[in-house]
Amino acid sequence: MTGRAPQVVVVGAGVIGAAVTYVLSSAGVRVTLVDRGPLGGGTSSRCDGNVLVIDKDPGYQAEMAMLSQNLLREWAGDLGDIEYRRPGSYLALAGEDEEEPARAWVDAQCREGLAFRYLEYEETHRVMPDLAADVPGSVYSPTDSTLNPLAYVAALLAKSRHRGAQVRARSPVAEIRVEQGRAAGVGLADGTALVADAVVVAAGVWTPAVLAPLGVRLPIRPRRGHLVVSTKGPRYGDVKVMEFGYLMAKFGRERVVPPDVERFGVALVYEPTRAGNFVLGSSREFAGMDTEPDPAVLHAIVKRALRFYPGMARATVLRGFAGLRPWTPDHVPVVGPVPGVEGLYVAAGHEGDGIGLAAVTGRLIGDFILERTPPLPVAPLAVGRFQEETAEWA
Amino acid sequence: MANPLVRFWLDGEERQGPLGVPVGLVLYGQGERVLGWNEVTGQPRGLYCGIGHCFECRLEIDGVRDQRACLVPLAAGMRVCRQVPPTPLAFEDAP
Amino acid sequence: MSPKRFDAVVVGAGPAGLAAAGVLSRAGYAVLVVDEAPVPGGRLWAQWHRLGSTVWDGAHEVDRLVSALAPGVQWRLSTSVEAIAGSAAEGFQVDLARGGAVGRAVLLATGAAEVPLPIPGWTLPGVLAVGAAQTLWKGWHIPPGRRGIIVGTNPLGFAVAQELLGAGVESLAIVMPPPSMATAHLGSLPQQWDRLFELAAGAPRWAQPVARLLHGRAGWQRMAMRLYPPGGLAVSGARLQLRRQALAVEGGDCVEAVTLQSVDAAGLPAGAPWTEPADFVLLAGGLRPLGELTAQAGVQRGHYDGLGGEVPLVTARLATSRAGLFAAGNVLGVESARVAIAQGRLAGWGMVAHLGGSVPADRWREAEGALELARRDAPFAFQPGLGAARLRHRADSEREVGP
Repeated sequence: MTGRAPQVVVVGAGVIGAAVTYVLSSAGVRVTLVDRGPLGGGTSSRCDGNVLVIDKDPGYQAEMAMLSQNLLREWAGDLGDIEYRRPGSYLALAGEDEEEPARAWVDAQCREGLAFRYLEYEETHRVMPDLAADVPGSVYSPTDSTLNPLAYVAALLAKSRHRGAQVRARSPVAEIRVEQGRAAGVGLADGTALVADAVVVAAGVWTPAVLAPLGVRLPIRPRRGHLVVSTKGPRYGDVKVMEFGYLMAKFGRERVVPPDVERFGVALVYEPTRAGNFVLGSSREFAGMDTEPDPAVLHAIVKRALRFYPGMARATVLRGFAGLRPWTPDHVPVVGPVPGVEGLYVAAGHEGDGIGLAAVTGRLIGDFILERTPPLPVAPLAVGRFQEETAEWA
Repeated sequence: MANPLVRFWLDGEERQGPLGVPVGLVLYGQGERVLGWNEVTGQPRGLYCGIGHCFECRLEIDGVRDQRACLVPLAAGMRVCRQVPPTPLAFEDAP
Repeated sequence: MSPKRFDAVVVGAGPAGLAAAGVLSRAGYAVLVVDEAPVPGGRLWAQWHRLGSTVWDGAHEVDRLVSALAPGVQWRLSTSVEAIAGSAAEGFQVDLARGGAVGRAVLLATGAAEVPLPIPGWTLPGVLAVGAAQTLWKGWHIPPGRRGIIVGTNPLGFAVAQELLGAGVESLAIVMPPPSMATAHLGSLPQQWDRLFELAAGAPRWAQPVARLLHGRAGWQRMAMRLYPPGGLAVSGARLQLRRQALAVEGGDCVEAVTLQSVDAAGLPAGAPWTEPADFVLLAGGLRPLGELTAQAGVQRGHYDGLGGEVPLVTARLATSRAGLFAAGNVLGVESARVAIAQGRLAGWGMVAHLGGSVPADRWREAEGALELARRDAPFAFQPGLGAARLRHRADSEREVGP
């Protein structure tokens, strides 16, 4: 890079692209952010607002999530009101058979230095009085936070614009231009050419399609999730609650649950919002790029919620919708340079953690482009780590 | 209209109204313009679209919350309550 | 409990749905009619206006449509349809708020909803969508109030003003909406006047004073507006005040007043705003096809401003892109109730044919002819550009879903 301020094009105005743009524009980089559709109109508008450590495998993933939480805490002051709060989060147990694995999980996280706790029956029901009486216990993570995803994306973009970033909605990318082995810019479908020193592809589930013309293959697949939103009314506690089985569903481990819960990968997620609604999740399925909500899945989510919160039978559902998580085979995102094309980066594949991991992802891409030292090892995130899988998917 | 009058309760207060007329419209006719409050701002809300689309007239009717009062016909003995807006989140940040 | 099976499930008991249910039930098919409202008729039920020397009485039309149903038609009123799944082969599962039903064919006749006109203060109790006043008074004989202001010059607003005659309303004015982002889609005041004059050229009863003012000539709008009486013209029992706009609705817990502003012949503010007392305000923002269920059911759709928004693409016999799913009435575009009835009959025959019944050729001719006639006789178009939009919709439909 020469002495002048570098110029970067970011493809994808979801939360990841917005965080990358925010970090770069805050560092004085001239950024143009483009999206084929509306800003934050993909997965970032079809998700909950969880910023979690509690559901990460102990070790690297938990460390990455903690880094992101700390960064977000720093950013929150700058971003204004994004409904950011840190109530912590809880994993409720569905049965006594989950007690052993839950205690083991807490021990493993504590060995990594995280402040997890196992809550016995009494304490669980004191903190969450609306829980069904047969929930035997819970796991607590005090650092977990929550925010409004739409407000988060909007605030990242507003601050970025204020710092000189150009943001173009409804501007599909026709090609990523590569000259002599270097990313040279982006050609838009309307014929506009954007010149750049670096191009960052942060297009979530659409990333493989954006990169395919360059012969770059990534095993990112859409893993559909449904959410249900209640009307504004009584809530069933002010804290965020998931079920311990969520971890099983997320990592594809075995659970003893009803058939539709198993089939759609359903696990309770309960998130009260400041607006007075609550959000219910979750489901996990490979169902292509279809985001039409499936009533059978919505029913399974509501039924699962009633298992933990019988009082919710009085609540009213406002709507249900579906989004596409960018899944990777090892549940770790893809963040880093594309081998063989200098100046081309990928920031994608965050599955259900885009909101939570956006901050650290933005930071890492900033470090790559500005040649700073990243705050954690980057090898597990490398673009090139999927040799076998890509052969399989090709 | 010739609808017979029946007894019902609004927030515990005894009333009379025409059988079969949607509750929200009955209340409008009795001068009860305010049927609820916006859950975030606390501003009053009342009948608006009259055909079940806007959800602004939601009342608790016979113990079931969020009934669109413009669609539910008045029945004898009905217990109708305005819904109290949710309290703000008490639990903001963990210690 | 397994859901009950029907030959046809009709979603929406308005003019289109009732007309289709009539055709299907008289042809011997098992029909279920579902509607959210407690009474059949949809918007037709509360319609009442003069058409030339005759009166269009919606309640009477509903009675006729209901009494034309064969015995045995099943009803699920006060019931919302939440989703439609399945297919013609296995039967469509119609998810109802309580339970469900299965139909070999389904008619989507969900009608239209009002377009919001969100002017400052519009959430105050006593501010109603104009159709709600129609339901209150014509439906249930509940007067909307004593002093009212209708905001917006949409045809539905004029129809309702006419219907409120006899409701004991002491004063009723029709004024223009304020300029704002939320009303930008309506265009500038001169553009709105132009549209109104275009409507007036068709000269339904309410528009005659405006038409006289214009002598039926286009391009005279600017002069007409210079001459326009400051106090407005008497139209349908209301004062049509085209050179006033409502800036905001005022009040504590309910509507108490409206802030008004005079405008000049170019539509620009003239003089200081003032308030006038009012105890109800009716917002006339127009109608749009109620398409949530067509979107959920995944039928192919297109956007047509002249039809009021997003509508399904359909064959000439009103079959959608999904075999066994049909559409009729305002869900296909905002037109008159007579058009909806004619579409309902046509879709009804289309469904009979889909269910394996034979439809005599003269039935098709009759149904198609009635639709053409209803369109030709329509007193006015709800949206500008209706005719052109209909042609485009037809052409797109033919290309995408067939003739």
